[in-house]
Amino acid sequence: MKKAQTIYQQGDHAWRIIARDPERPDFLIDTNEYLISHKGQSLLTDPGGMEIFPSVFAAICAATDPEQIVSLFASHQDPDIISSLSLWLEFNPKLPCYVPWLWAGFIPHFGGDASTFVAIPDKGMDINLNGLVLKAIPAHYLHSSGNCNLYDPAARILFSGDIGAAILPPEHSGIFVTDFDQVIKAAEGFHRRWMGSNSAKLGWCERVSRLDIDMLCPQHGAIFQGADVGRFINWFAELEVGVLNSPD
Amino acid sequence: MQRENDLVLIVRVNEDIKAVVRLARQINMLALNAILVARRAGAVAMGFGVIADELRSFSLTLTQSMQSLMMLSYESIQIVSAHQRQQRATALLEQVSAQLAQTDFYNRAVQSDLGGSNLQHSLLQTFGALEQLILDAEDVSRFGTVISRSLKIEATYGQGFTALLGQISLDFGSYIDAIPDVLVRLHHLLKVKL
Repeated sequence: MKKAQTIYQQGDHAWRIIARDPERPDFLIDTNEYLISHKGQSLLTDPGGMEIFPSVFAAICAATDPEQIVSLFASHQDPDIISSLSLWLEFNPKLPCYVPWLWAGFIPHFGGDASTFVAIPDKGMDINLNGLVLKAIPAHYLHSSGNCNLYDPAARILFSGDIGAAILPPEHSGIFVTDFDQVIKAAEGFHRRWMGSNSAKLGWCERVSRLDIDMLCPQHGAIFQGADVGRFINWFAELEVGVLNSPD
Repeated sequence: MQRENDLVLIVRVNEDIKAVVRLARQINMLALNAILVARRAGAVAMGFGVIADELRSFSLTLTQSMQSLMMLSYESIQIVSAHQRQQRATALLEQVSAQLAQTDFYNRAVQSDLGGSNLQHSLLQTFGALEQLILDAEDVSRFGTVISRSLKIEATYGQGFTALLGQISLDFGSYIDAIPDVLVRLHHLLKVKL
C-alpha cells in the first residue's frame, strides 16, 4: 500500500503526501495525493483513480482518521485525479468535491450528484478548511482546459497538479527533488506535450511568482522545495509547450 | 447495517487499534522508566524490576498483535472497495435490465463474472479473522492485567521507594485497565457484521 508522510506540520496544521505504492501495477501511472489538515478537519487533493482507492484509503487510515476528511479537491477531470469519487462517496455520501466549473457536468460520470460538487469559477476561489483559507489558483490549459492549483498561504505550499510532474525511475523515487537537472530532464517531454498553451503557461508563471512558495507539490513525481521552486518556474516560463513530440 | 458502511466500520476498528497501540507505547515507556527506578532502588525492588520487564515484553506483544489486526483491516479495505464497485456495477446493470425489460441479460451478467457473493464471502472471512485476532488480543490483555496486579504487590516491598513504585504501578494500572474496554468495543463493532 501507499504511505502517508508528513511534509509540513505547524501545530494542528499539517500537509501529508500519500505516495509511492510498491504494489502498484506498472500499467497504472503513479500519483501523489495530499491531505491538508487543520484543527481536526482535512481536505484531500486529487484523490486518485478507482484502482488505487484501497491503497490511498489504507495509507490515510494509518496516518489519521479518514472521518476527519470534510472535502475533496479535484484539480481537473482526469481519471487518475478523481475516478475514485464514487468510492469516497460510499464512505461519506455528504463529502463535497471542489471542481473547476468546466468539469462540473463531466466529473459526475464518476459518481456524485448535484449536492456533491462545488464549482470553482475560472478566476479561482477561497476554500475554508476549519478557519484555514486555501486558495484555488487558476491553471487553465495546464494541462486541462479547466484546471486549478491549490495554494496554502500559511504553509507556503502550492499543490500544482500536473505542473511539475515527472515520472522518475524507481531508484529516484524520493518524495523531494534532490537533483533538479535530472527531474527536469524527466519532466521536459511531458510538459511540452501535455501543457497546451504558451500564453496560459506564462500567465501561470507570472501568477505564482507573486506567491510565497516553499514547496511546489505536483500530482506525479517529486516535490520542489526552496530555491528549486523558483528554478522550476523560470524553466517552465522558458519552455515551449504545446509541442507534438510523438515518436511516430 | 448496510454494506456501504463497511468502510466506516473499518475506519472505526482501525482507530480503536491505534488507541491500543498508543497505550502499548505508553506502557513501554513507563516500563523502561520502572526498570531504571527499580535499579536505583536495588535489592528491595528486584521483583518489581523483573515484573516491569515483563510489562515491557507485554507491550511489545500487544503492539505486534495490534499490527496484525491493522494489516488485516487494510486488506479488508481492498475487499470492501471491490465489493462496492461490484455493487455499483450491479445497480447499473439492474437499470439496463429494467429499461430493456430483459432480466436474462442482467442475470447472465451477474452470474457470470461480477462475483458479488465471493466478495461478500471474502469480506465475512476477513471480518471473522479480525474477530479471532481481537480474541487473541483480549488474552494478551488479560495477561497484562495479571502482571499489573503483581507489580502493585511488588511495589509494597520497596521500603524507601514504596511510594514511588506504588505511583508507577498505579500509572501502569490506568493504561492497562483502558485496554479491555477498547477491545470489547472492537469486538462489538465486528460482532454486528458477523
